[in-house]
Amino acid sequence: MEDILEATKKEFSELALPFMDELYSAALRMTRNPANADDLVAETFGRAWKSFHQFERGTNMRAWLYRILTNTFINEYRKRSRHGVPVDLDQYENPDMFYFYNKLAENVQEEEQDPAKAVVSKFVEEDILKAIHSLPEGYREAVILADLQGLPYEEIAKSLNVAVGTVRSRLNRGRAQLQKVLWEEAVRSGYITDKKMHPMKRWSTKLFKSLRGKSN
Amino acid sequence: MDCSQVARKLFEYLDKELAQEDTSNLEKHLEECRACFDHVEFERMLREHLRKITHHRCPEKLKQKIKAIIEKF
Repeated sequence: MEDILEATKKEFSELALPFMDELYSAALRMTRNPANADDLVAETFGRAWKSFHQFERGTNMRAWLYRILTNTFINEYRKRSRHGVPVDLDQYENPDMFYFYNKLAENVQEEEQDPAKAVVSKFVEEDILKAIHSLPEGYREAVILADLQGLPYEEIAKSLNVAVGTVRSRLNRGRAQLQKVLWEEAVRSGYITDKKMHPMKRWSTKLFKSLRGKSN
Repeated sequence: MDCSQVARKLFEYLDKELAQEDTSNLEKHLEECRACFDHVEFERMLREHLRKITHHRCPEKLKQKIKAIIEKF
C-alpha cells in the first residue's frame, strides 16, 4: 500500500511539477498580486493532487492543470483582484484589430532605427498588466491564456468552460481593445507623442507626466 | 492570399491555429510583401515583449510548499 502511494506521488511529481513556473506566471498575470498568486498556485496543485485519480493517463496534464487553475481563480480569486472599471466592449462595433500598429505607423520618427520596437521596449510590466486588466472579465483571461501563456484555442475553451467559437470572438475583441489601451498607455507614459492629439491635450498629458514623475 | 486576407488571419497565424494550407499561402505572401512581413513581425515582437516582461519563475519557497502538500497527503 505504502509502495503504491509512493509510486503515485512520484508519478504526479514527474507529470505535474514541471509546470510550476508556467502556472505561477499565469497566476501572477491573472491576480497581479504575489500573495494571491502563491495561494492560487498552491491550491491548484493541491486540488490536482487530490483528484489525480480522475486524471486520464495519456491526456494533456498541462491543459488539466490550467483548467483547475482557471476555475479556482474565477470562483475564488477574481473578486479579490478587481482593478479599475472594465470597459464595455459592445460599444465598439468594428474594432480596429491593429490600432496600436496603425497609430505607431502614423506617429513614429522615421529617422530612428526600428522606431516601433523602441516604443514597445519601453513598456514595463505594470503598463502591460494594467492594460490587460482593463479588459472585461472573460476576455482578459482569454487574452492572458493565448497571448501570454501561448495555449491553443481548444485548451483555452476547456479552461474557461466555453466553446472554441467563444474563445475566438473574445480574443478578437479583447485584442482589439488591448491594442487601443496599449497605445493610450504609451502616450500617457510619454513613450511616444500623438501628433494628431490636440495641442492643449498634448500639453496636459505632458504636465500630468511630469507631476507623476515628481510624486514617485 | 492578398493583404486583407493576411490581416484577417494574422493573429490565428501567430497563434498557430491556421490550417496547413492557409499557413503556406500566408507565408508565401509574406515572402513577397514587405508591408505584411513587417506587420507580422511587429505583432510577434510585441507579443514576445509582453510575455518576457510579465514572466516570473515560481519562488523556491512556493515550490517547497507544493512538494510538502503532496508529501503530507
